[in-house]
Amino acid sequence: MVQYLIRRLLYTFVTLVGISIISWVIITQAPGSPIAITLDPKVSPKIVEQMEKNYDLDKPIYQQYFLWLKRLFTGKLYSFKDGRPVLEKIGERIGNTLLLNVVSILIIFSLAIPLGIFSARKQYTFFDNLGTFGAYLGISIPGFWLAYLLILGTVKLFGYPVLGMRSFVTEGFSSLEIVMDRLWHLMLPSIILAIGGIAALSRYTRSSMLEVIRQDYIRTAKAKGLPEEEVYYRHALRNALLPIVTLFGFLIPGLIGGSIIMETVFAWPGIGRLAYQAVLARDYPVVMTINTISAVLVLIGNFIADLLYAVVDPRIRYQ
Amino acid sequence: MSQLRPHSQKTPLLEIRSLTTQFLTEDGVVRAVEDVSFEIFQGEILSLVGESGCGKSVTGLSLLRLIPIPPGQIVRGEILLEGRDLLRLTEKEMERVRGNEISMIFQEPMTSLNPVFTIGSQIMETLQLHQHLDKKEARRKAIEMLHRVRIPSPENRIDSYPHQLSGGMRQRAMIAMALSCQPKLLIADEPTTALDVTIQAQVLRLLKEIQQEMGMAVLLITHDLGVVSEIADRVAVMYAGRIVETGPLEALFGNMRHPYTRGLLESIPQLEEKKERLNAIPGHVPNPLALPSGCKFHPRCYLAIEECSQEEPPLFQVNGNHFSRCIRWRECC
Repeated sequence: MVQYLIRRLLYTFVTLVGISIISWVIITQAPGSPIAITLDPKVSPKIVEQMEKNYDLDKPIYQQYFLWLKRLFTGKLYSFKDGRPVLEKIGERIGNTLLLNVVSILIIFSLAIPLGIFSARKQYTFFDNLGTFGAYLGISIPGFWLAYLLILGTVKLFGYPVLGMRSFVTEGFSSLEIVMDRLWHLMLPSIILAIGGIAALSRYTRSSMLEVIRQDYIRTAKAKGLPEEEVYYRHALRNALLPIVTLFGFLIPGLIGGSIIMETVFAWPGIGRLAYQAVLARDYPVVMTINTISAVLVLIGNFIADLLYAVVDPRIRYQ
Repeated sequence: MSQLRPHSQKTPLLEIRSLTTQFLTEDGVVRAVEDVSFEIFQGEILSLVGESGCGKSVTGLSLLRLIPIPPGQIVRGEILLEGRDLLRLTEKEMERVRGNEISMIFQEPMTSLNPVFTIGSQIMETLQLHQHLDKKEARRKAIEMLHRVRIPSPENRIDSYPHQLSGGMRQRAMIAMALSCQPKLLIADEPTTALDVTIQAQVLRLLKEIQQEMGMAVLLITHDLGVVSEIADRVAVMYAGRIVETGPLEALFGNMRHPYTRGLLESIPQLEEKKERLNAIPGHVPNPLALPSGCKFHPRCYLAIEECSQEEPPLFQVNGNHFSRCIRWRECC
């Protein structure tokens, strides 16, 4: 087990280095430069040259990469745009993004799995067909469109702002009211973020469940005289969840990608919006660092998925 | 006469009358079991024999009402366990029969045990369910059962997962689970088919021993006549969903009265004769959606006459409890 963990960590590290090199090349070689974007085209070439020097853009690309790496780990990485430390900029926003994503993951798992099980048990009934319809709807509706629709509807109906993380004026609010205000602002974006996930995961749970209930050991469980509920929730569910835990790893990057759009729509001060603005400004240090953090999260997600797999499946545990 | 009908005085443990099970498929209705009647007495091993697809497994599953409904459907019949018709029980009452009064073991010990639970917890589950034992007692009883099916060091093995055991050990664990509540009847559906030949013999011997110790009845479903000759008391041969011949083991093997039974027995390769070809029954198992008229076996039968294709023959009494569904049973074999 320890050996497996070490090997696994080693692979993860190699993958991470690969990701950072490839994304570095893509980002720095993409059209546009941080200087051309921030400056007037009429500025003298001399100043441009000086600025390129400041940003190390005159050095060969591999040197730039190692400089970035070194600065990232020594904490001396500064944004091109405002000169503030990158980690500080990210640090003040990462909590906001995590809050949003954790809430929507919780919504996804707590709704999608029971929904999927129920659909499987009631296969081809009205409820199941409704679930299928709803899932296709949830997967195909563009999130930003639905977001605007819900923003409009909610504001019209309740007359209370929904954009941002909190209301602008919270003076005179009791602590309970502040909490309620925060939850209110969290509600819409987390629901919107969760819709696609609920749709996909409930379908996945359903098909996994339907596959498992055809297995021989389910027949054995019935032949023992177990009531149907126990057959489903003890014998079938444990097996049906095996493939679902791997999804857990894939959901994390999905939510980070999704939050670029949703954070912009909801004016949510998170990493996604920061990344979006940094890409527009060709702010390489910020883009690259966020990229690396995302990659780390993806890899951690996969790693967690593999560990969970071993927890729920004894056949893997002993190999 | 009384010697030929040893069971006629006793009431059977299980009596099946005119059991008919069908499946609704996209291509039509498949009658997997048609008008099957037989009885099992306490302490005997009845073997249900036939080729794949003859309806023997469906018969076994029907007894425990484990046919998936839909597409399956038990159309009519009675399944009387000590006089109580199982087909009239509610689902809740049926749950108390399954695993408790009637147990079942299956062909594939690999896939028939749940891979994510230890064999101990799967045996204990049955005990806690039917005998309402607490965890400690259930564990003690489970170890005792594992010991009884000759699993070495059961105290350790109880915490093994199915994939950690060999095929033979897994089937023993299945047997321990099925017998943990001392059922009156064990339905064994091809219990040794998936095992190595040497393991087959061990498991069969074990089944027979435990059956005698516990005095329970066994319905042994198999296509393997070698297995039948080893442990069965009585045999029922099935073809196309019907019982075509039934009787005591010696009568069927020594004095068969149906051409299909004869075909089955002759298709077993003999060591002494070195033949190029096996004595296979000519033709194929009929398509269940388009069964032949009259006797379902007549297109493959060397004794077939005009009459065979006209009306389905009833079961003729050969003598005692030996019956044959062949109008030419006197001339056969």
